[in-house]
Amino acid sequence: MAILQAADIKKSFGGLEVLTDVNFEVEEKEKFAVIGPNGAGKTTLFDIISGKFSPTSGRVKFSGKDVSNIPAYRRARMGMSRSFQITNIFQKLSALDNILAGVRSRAGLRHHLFRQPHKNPALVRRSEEILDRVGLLGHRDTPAQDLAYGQQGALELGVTLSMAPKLVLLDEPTAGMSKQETTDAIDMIRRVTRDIACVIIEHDMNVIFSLADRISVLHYGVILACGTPEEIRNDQRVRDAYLGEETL
Amino acid sequence: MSETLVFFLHGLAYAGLLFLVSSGLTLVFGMMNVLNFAHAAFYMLGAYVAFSVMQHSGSFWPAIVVSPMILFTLGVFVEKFLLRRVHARGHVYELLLTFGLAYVIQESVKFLWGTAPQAMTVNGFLADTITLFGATYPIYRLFIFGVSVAVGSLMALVLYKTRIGIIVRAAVDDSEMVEALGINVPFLFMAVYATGAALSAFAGVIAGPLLSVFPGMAESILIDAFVVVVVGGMGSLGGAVLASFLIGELQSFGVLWFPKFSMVLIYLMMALVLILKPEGLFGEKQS
Amino acid sequence: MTTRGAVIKRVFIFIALLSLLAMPRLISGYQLRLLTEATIFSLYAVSFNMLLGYAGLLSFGHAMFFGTGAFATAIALEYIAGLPLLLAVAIATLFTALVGLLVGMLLLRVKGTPFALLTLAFNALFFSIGIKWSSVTGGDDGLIVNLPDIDLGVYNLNMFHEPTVYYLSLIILGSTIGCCWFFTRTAMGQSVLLIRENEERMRFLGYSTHISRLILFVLSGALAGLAGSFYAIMNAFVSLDAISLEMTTKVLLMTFMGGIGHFIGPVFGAVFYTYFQNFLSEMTDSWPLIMGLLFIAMVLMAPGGIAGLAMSAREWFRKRFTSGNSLKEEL
Repeated sequence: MAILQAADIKKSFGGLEVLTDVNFEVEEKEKFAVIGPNGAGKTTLFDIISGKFSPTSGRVKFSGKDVSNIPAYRRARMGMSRSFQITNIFQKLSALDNILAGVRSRAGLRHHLFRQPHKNPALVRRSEEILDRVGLLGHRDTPAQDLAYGQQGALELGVTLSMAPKLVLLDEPTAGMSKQETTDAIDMIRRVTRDIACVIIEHDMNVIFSLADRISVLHYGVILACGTPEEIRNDQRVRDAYLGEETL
Repeated sequence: MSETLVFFLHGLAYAGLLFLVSSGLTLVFGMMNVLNFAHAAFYMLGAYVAFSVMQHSGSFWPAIVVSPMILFTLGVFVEKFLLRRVHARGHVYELLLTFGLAYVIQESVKFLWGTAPQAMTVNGFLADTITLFGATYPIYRLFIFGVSVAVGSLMALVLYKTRIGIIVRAAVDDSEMVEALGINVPFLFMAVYATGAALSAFAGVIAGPLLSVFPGMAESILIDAFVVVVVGGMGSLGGAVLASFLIGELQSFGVLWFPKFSMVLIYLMMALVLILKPEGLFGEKQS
Repeated sequence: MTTRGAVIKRVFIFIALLSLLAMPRLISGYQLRLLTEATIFSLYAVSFNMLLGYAGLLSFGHAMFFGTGAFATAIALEYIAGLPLLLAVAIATLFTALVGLLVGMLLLRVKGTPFALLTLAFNALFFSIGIKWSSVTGGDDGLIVNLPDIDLGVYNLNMFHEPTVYYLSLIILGSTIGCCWFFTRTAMGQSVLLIRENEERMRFLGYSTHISRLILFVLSGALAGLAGSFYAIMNAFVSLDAISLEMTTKVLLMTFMGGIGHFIGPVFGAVFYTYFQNFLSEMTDSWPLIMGLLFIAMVLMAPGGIAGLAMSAREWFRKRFTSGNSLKEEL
């Protein structure tokens, strides 16, 4: 069964239709990419899947359950986690505390008036494991704002994984990174999301073609084509609309 | 019948006054995204300045011109030297600053004019009464309503039909873009804030003869004006018109029908709007 | 690890605590009353800072909870015969928490500026209920609070004896500060601080930010109610002054002037405000004008309040001190 289904999604702001009849499915453990030029509606699509907005019409189904009108925090609790294009971590907190915020939420320790998350060895150990996976265990107590740019990206990924999600939405995970940082980031993403379904938005074609199992091309709010990286590379409509200037 | 009419007219006069106060508040909030707590204090200060001008000149008309001009100047200084400096620190500091300003103006007025209420009496035709459907009615209350309609129409005209209005409304949506087009946005905001101050002084002058001039006048109108802004929707001129009318009439007929609960009625209305439509009748939804 | 600085700090705190305990023997009745008032207002300011400092929520209606606590205490003692005093305080606090829950459910539907504006309107609503419902609240005349002794079994504490009220409020303030410190380390407290830092991310990490704010609002309201309750006990009287906009203004000025960034800041603010007001009002009737000007100056120039100034002064001295040392080493 598909873990994520988008059915006939429409979204308009004021009179402007940003997304028109968007349909796709993502299987368990599949890496699914959405590409398209700026203004194609990729981020809006992400916002609708993750629950920042509701769609104007259409359905989002997660693990077979209709979540179209369920708020973002409940979707996160169900196992859907998103990263942000502009790193959106807790700048003043240490790397560990950033991860702990998600880990304790996963454990249901959100509003307790007496229990102290820092004094819970299981939660701290779990956070350290995640830090280790994204290569930041050596920076356990460094405030996020003092980390290098690439490390902040890794921490962003770590925070996204801290909820032990079934589905991860990655919004341009390598935006603004150097060539070396990008290569490292791709390796890391592949490693940490081995058993998790992913939806990725990306501009960088190298990133997309090295990560994705399947690709959808979004063009002015409409899905133009959908297929394996090879099919997309060879699709004439895609070449005309979007990939024309890219060297493939 | 005639009693109902009289109370309806009372309601209209109060609605007019409420609109005069809340229009300036709405203007500043809508344009600058600043809730000006000092607005009611400007209103009171405007009334006191008018009172002093009337004492010296013996007439109402110079006061209605001079007082808004003085408050406009004060508004320029407040925006330029105080408000602008905390803008970057966010809305909490803007609120704290205007709140502190309101407090200081309130206390300055007590210091300069004393705490005793002062009567402001108009003369000439404004002091007369008129007979409407067999009931005599003071012209001054009708005058308030007329003035508020005139001010409201003028504001709508400027904001929606002139180039200045278009620029101001564009600056609200995207001040950087407007700045890039060569418009001096800080100057624009200063002008808007000062206009808001002048409008509130104008309302204070108009209110003086109706309610008399006293140090508590700011607090009593502030709450009602805030309720107008909440019910109408923050920053919406049309909302301010409708909400002023509703609350003016509710206040007036509340006194007639439920004298014990008249004060609580408008809060009930506010709570109802909050439950059903938290952004106000004409307000935009918060994302 | 105990450094020399930490030892000095502990000795200092110990001496401060000791002198607070000895105060009733050292100062006159009037001065003790003033100190009790400062203690109670400290509690009130600490409760206000839970909203402003922890969550960034600016309320202009905190007196509605302070006043509710004060009136609830007086009314409970009047209508329930033989009610022990501390039970009345507990009832008043719980009742204020309930009021906070209802008000919070309405007000927290909006955020930022509309929230600030609505809190002011609700404060005005509470005030007019206070005036209109005079059969219960006493209206403009206020209510006299019947203060029963606290029966400790072997000893009766007379509440008209000033040191008793002083010690009681000191105990409550001390435990509240302790609880607040603990609160910032709990799951709930951490969530509130993180929401202020990055609300969007918290939502995407499964936190219902609305529930967090509501819980905090209720806690803060309950604490303000507790402060109000002690205010009623101290004066053996409650008037509409407890629920007025002046009482809201007071807590706002105290908290901000003390410093919203530090959990002890509001205590500094309340003590400073109480004594400075007492000092000024002996010289001029326009003391609020001076207080207001000072407040504006601090909003513009010292947003960290007294606590912020103290911290930067300490930083300045430390720098001077250490740079002097390094200079010596160089020589």
